[in-house]
Amino acid sequence: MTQHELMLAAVLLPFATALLIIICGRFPNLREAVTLVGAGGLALIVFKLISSFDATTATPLVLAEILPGFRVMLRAEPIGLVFAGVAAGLWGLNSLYSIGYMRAEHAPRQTRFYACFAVALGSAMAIALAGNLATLFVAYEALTFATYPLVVHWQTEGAIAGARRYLAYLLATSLVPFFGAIVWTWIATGTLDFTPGGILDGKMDDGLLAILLFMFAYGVGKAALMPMHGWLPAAMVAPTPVSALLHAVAVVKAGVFTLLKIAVYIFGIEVIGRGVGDLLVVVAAASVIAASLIAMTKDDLKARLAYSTVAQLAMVTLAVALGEPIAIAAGILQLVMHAWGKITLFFGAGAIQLATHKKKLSEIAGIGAKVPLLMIAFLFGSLSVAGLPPFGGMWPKFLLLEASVDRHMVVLTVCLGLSTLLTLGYLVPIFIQAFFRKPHDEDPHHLPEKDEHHHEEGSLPVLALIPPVVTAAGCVVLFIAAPAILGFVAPVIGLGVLP
Amino acid sequence: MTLLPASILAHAPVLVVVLPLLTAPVIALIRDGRIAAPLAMIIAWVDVVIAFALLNQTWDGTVVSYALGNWSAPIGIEYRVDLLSAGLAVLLTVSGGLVSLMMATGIAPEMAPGDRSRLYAAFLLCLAGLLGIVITGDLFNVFVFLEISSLSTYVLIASGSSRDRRALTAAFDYLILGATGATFFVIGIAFLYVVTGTLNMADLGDRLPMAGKRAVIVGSSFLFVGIALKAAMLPLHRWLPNAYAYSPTVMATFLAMTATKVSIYLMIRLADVVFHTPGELGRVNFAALMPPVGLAMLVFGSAIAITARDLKRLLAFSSIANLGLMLVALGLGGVAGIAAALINLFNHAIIKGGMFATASAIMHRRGSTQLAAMAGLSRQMPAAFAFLVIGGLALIGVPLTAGFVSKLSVVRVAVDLGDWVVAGGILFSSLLTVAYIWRIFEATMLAEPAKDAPAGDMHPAFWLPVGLLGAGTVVFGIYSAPIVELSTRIALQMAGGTP
Amino acid sequence: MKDLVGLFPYWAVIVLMMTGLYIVIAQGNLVKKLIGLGIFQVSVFVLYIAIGVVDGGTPPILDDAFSVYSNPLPSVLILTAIVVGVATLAVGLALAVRIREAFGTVEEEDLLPLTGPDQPAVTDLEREARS
Repeated sequence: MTQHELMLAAVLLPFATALLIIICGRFPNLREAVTLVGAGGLALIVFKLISSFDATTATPLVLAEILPGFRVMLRAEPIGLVFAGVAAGLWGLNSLYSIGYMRAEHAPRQTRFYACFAVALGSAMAIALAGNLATLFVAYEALTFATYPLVVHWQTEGAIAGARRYLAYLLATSLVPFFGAIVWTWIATGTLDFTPGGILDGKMDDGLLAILLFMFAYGVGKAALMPMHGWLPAAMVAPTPVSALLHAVAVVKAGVFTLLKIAVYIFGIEVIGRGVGDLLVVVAAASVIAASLIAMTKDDLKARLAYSTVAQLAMVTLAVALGEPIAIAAGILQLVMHAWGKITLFFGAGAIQLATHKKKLSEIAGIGAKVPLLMIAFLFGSLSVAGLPPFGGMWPKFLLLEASVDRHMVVLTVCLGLSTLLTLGYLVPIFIQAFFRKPHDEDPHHLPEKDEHHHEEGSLPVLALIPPVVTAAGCVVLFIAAPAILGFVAPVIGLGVLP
Repeated sequence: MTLLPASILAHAPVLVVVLPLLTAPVIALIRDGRIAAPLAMIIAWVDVVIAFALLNQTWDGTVVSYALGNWSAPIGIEYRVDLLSAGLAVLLTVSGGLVSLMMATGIAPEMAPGDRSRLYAAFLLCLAGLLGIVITGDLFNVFVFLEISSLSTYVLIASGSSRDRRALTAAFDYLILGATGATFFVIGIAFLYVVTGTLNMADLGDRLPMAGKRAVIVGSSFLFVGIALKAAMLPLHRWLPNAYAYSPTVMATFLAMTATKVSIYLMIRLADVVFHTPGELGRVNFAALMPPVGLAMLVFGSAIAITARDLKRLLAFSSIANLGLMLVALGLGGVAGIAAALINLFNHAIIKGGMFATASAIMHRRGSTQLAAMAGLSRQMPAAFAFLVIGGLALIGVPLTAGFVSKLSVVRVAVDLGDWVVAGGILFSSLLTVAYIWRIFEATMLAEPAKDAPAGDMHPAFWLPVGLLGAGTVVFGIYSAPIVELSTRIALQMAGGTP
Repeated sequence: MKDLVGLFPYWAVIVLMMTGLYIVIAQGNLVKKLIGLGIFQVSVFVLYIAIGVVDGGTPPILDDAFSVYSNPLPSVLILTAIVVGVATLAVGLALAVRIREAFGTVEEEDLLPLTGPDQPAVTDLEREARS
């Protein structure tokens, strides 16, 4: 298949899968087989796209023209392919996990669940392969709407309220500042195509560019830059596989990916680096620290992870705002590494809940003995997110530090160091609690709490255990693979010599 | 390409109006609704063909002039069809045609069988009146057709009285306001006639610059108020919500697609008369009034829609908001502004028509369009629900729907002119749209269904109109060229250029 | 003074117009509203006839003895407008009758509480059952 066909297939396959899922809705086994086949097929296609990618022959594929000059078109380029690879690779694992989780929970409306999942992945593919800002916006909105039914899945009052917040934040940001910034860019430059080196240089003065950058940074609500992060904890009402999708694979990564694309292909890295992004650096750094501190106060595991995501995403925004090739490289790596690390943590949190019916840090004391493999995977994920070797998460932290030193931002360097400590501070206690504390019912200081809903012991389906173990192993593999990824994206971000 | 034989084509301008006008009394006399309805349907569709023939004839910029009864212009009445007229005629006839398809079925739960053929007659009269407005070149003739359409509209609205007696008061209120507005319109005509000596709209624009200032100001003010009332321009909007909410749902569909659109047509047609560049003649500059009033309508209409408890009322207030958007575009002016207004006009007819047609199907099946009565719709009437979703997303302005094209075209003009207040206002209002659309979704998707809800999806009679309008909403959102091209050509022709 | 006398028809038009409009707005009785509407429309008829008059002209009947005619067109137009006015009045009165049947009143202040958007819908069937 040619590159164009592959791109089209990558975008359309998930939608076709969704359709088949709906058709097979009455037969759960068949339906889930369709999901897995679709995920496998997508992974193959994306792998083919990446392996056959050649920058010199990449041409855009125009699909439609919504208004003269406002085109929907696809175009493969390295950063997008990296994102596509992450999303396609994790969809299969997430689907496996979903099957285990949803069946164990006897969840209703599973057909809708898998169909929306596929549509969300298709939207993510379209975001990854978007050839211009217009297409990216189209796919970005599609992703928002496709994930709404997933967030609201339980349809309890709390879920409806949480989903409302989710939607309100994402649409308020995308329909006002993001869309406004796109139209502004369009009018100012006459194009929206992603062009290496950017299209905005010289079209407006730096002050306006800084405003435009802020409009983008807050317009892309999925990047969850504080204080526009409120949707992320609110969306925790979703089933855990969805949270994993939202906070590791599709939604938040689509957000920071959009920012990276805008930095590289709309503004141009140098334009941001000459001072346009400086204010954003401050905001993003503050967001990193603040979110980490909040995460430490959260008892609910998923809420803790959500705030952790806010902090880790802000690092990508920070990378974008620094406007240095090496920082952009860090941003791209962070996108990959955080995806694998955080999905491990979410898989872990969900599996803990399945196995023990516990959702809170204060309740999980001593569960390590019950699910040792799971908790070790959890530890791997935690260390990777915090940025310790030998886990993939080390690379972005390291490169960001280097960028901050390059730009002589001492305070920032300190902030980054601090953030690693804070990350350890809110993630490692989960592990400690699980392994080194006694369970409450054996602890004389705690009275056993009566749980109204779950009397029987939970069990951990094997399908819910394999994915976190695989992703945890992936964190280690990525530590080794990181230079290859860097080499892949180096040409487009102007990174000459590999560090 | 010719759609009709030359001998018929030569009389097409008058045929398109006269055909429904003359057959209406015949249909009123046929007692049996089962004969009357198909007859009305045939007439409506013959009209569609004639309208398309006119569009075909005028596409290249030709202006077809037809002297009624062979009396030439100063004494007789000239029918004058340019692209604007033909475009509107197509919109009106297609609306009429689609509504005629579901009319007989849709009216069943809302009206006694014996009265129905008279309703069909009123429907054809209304169609004839509206068509007359857009076809004629004579200002007084516009008034006459305005009254024909208005009188039949009062009847259409009042026909809802067997389901809800408030239809009567709604019709009466509209009658008082409408008749007052029409009288204002005639007063305006009188003043303009006095100072120019002509009623031909084409001549009127040419002669106005030589006319006395004060009479023109007074005359155009009266005209403007008359038109504004029919366009439901704030604060003259009071008739619209009740008229849409209490009229039989199929007829509300027709009114929503056509009635107010014709007022927008008049504003464009009479732009030389009622709006003018400031200063030149000291004329009142109504164009400057449009953006603020339009914005107010956008915000007000959307905000009230959020509080509505009935789908039809909600859609009615949404119509006020959308009319506001058209007025904003008109007020921004220029070729791009007028084109944007027309894009909105056509797209809104399709989107809102689809929503109302779906409401008709729901009303037919369930006997109510109260939001509270629509619980469980997503399961029990999945097709109807799907079309509500399509229409709702289009109203929000989600990409790949016609609504996005509309919104984008206006925002682009506003940003191009540097009018940030207008651009921001439009973007902000889409958030309010999300709020009211989401009330529909939550009511239909998340609420627990009633046990005794009538089974079955849409009646087959609704499939074609609902399906076509829904498909149009999506197709014109992706392949927008037909509507954009038509609107741009019209705008160019109105501005004196060649399309 | 010349204005007052010379433009007498126009003064009359203004008075009629304002009277009619005032009645439409101020009266709560639907039938009276319609009467006001009628007066308002009649004022326009007068306006049209007045603007057709040419000083010193005769009625527009062709005759060799006269050379200055009044403009016939406004009168012709207003014939149409009269028809329209009558039709409007007829529909309006018919509605008033139906409103009286359905609500038992044609007074606006009595109707308002019955016609709010949150009132329950009353169908023909329910009405017949009640009466």
